[in-house]
Amino acid sequence: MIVVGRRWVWLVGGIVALALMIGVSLAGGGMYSLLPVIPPHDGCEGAMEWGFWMSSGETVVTADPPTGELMIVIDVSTRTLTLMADGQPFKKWPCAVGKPSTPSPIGEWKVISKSYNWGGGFGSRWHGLNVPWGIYGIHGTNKPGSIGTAASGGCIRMFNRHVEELFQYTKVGTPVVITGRKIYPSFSRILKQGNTGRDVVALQLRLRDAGFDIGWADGRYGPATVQAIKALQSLYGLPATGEADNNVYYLLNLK
Amino acid sequence: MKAVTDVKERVGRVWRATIAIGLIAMLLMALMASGCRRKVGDQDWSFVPDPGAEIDPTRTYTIELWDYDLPISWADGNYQTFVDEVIASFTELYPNVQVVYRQLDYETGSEELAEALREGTPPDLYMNFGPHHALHPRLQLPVEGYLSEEDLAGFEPIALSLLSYKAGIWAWPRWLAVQTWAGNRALLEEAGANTERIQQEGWTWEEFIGLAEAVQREKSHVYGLVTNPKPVLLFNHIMRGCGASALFFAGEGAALYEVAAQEPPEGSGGGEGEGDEGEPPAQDIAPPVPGWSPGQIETALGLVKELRDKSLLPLAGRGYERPLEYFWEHRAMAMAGFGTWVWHQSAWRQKRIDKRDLYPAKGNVNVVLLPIPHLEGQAVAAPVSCAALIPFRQAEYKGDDHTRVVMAFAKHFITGMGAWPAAELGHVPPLIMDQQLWHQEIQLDDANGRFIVDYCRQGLAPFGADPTVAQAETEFRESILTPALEGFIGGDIEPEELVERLTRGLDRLDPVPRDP
Repeated sequence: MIVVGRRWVWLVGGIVALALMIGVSLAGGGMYSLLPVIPPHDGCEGAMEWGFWMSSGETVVTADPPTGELMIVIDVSTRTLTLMADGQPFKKWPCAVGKPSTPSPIGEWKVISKSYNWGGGFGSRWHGLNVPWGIYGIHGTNKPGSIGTAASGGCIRMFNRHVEELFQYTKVGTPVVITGRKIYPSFSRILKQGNTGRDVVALQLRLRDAGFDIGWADGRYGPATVQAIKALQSLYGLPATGEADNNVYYLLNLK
Repeated sequence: MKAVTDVKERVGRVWRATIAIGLIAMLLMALMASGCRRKVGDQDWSFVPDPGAEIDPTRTYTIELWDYDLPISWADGNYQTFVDEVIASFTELYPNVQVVYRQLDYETGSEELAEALREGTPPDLYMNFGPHHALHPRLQLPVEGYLSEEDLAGFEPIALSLLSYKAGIWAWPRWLAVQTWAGNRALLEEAGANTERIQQEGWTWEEFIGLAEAVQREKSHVYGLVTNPKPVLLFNHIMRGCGASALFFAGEGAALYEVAAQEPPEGSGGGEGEGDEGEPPAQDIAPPVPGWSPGQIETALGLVKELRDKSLLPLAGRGYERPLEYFWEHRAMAMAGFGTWVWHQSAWRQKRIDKRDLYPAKGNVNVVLLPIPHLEGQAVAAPVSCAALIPFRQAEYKGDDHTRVVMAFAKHFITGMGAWPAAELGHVPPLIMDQQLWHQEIQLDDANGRFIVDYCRQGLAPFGADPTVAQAETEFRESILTPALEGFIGGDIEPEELVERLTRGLDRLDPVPRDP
């Protein structure tokens, strides 16, 4: 009779379990990874090298697809993602949003890229957003327990089966509005054409509240924002420079 | 041979004569044809449409309005929503009328209008912020024929004066914008000011300087005055405080559009307060007169220099460019060169503070609107301008019935709910009956609201909408006054030189014929 020590049992069992987990992960598809892999930092600021590969992973959609103009609305306070069709809610899913230290970018964005199976922390689908100060997206996850919490580096996480369904409906160019939290930048700089940032988003939202048409609050100080600032300055007797300085911030009650 | 040559010459002469006669005939016909289309009004400012022309119910009229976006919004809409509602309410009354509405860009709108006027294709109505409203001597249409006596009596007199020229009224007033000073009530009262009395009766320069110095003694970081970075605005205010009501003198040849002091009718927004009955009439108060004299210019520059030398006004590069920041951060006792929207802004700030969207370190400023300080014994002409809808005809005139439709729409646009944009922007509706609505809708603080209307009634328009005076004023302000004042504020030009420069410029540009 071979007597096997308890340590060896645990060791062999662990190796077998590990092999199973790796095998399941590599199988991909809609299954969750069982491997306790620390995912790459999702939603980081600044440049990040990444690559993606395409697979034919398809998800069978059981519901009728939405019709009309689509828009994604993400409410970070309720941690929900709603797909709107012609202004009406089509479907709503839970999601995870950025941690307080790495908040999700409040503003109005667009989907600029779509890809499959990044794997790991990015799950089975990726929607890239045109946030000018970092790489953010809507993607799947290998941490389903985080859904419904503020856990990410700023990206929006969904269950893989949900993001796969969403992926079927969206296109590059689909608008994405992230809302649900007030932003309080310091407005410590003079903003001018070409600037980007959270302060630009806050300025654009405030201009819109005040009745000016700035197009999208996309954090880019472009011609529409310049025009709105000049109109504001002209209307209130200030020199119409098109740059947002302290007078503009106080005029808009941002300071 | 000779005979053949003679015949050829004769034939040639006949052909040449025939061609010449033909050309002359065509020219005469063209002249006659244009003469048939000639209408009274080929002289400048003389076109008079027939206000009684019948509107043809079988004809579809299309009228065009060029406007600018206004920063007005509420939960369910914005200025465009408001315009859509006004147009819809008009087309309900006139189903055979289509209104084409276009919003212009603030930067390029006036150029677009100028281009359209050059081409003879202006819109039927154009929103003009002023201050000058006589824009085209042949294509602009007078409106007084479409106003009854009762209509005329319902307008603030200053509104009509600002739009009058050569016995005509040349636009439909939308709102009156008056520039006042804004005071920090708490700072003023700490220094011993009776803000209610100042608001009602005015204050002298001595009183203002005294209060500013008192505030600064207690709080050295607080300035007596901050001002709009455009120096011409403050200087214009100071000149008014010295008794000038306009840049140029009114000579014998000038038409003066005097505004007679009027008691407001019952139910108007202003003048509801009880006056002191039995108070003796003011004595030795000099009325404001048109014209900047060298003496007045020198006095005004002396006052600016006093503010600068006593550090009551921040210097360029040290806060001069940040008036709103200093005012809202309790670093200025008073602010000049802005409109009455400042009190409105105080209310907006309070809403944001209440919603915890704004956290000013020292809380909100309790704003009291104040008149421009004046020299002892001098009345002040308040700086008032009028925004208005200007009606135009096109070079290919569409008919008096079309003009009647345009005027009906303009009247509809400025009355009733038309007062709402004025209220939202903090301006005064020109129609007295709308001022009551204005007070109710915007829940205006009574004292500030009464003051705005009363101060508007202290406005004067000695030259009305006279375009030659307007052009001269614009040229003086842009090419002479603004650069000179910037040099003075920056310390590059001494007062004596500035007085001379301005006086020379006024003499050169004076459009008013003087007595020989």
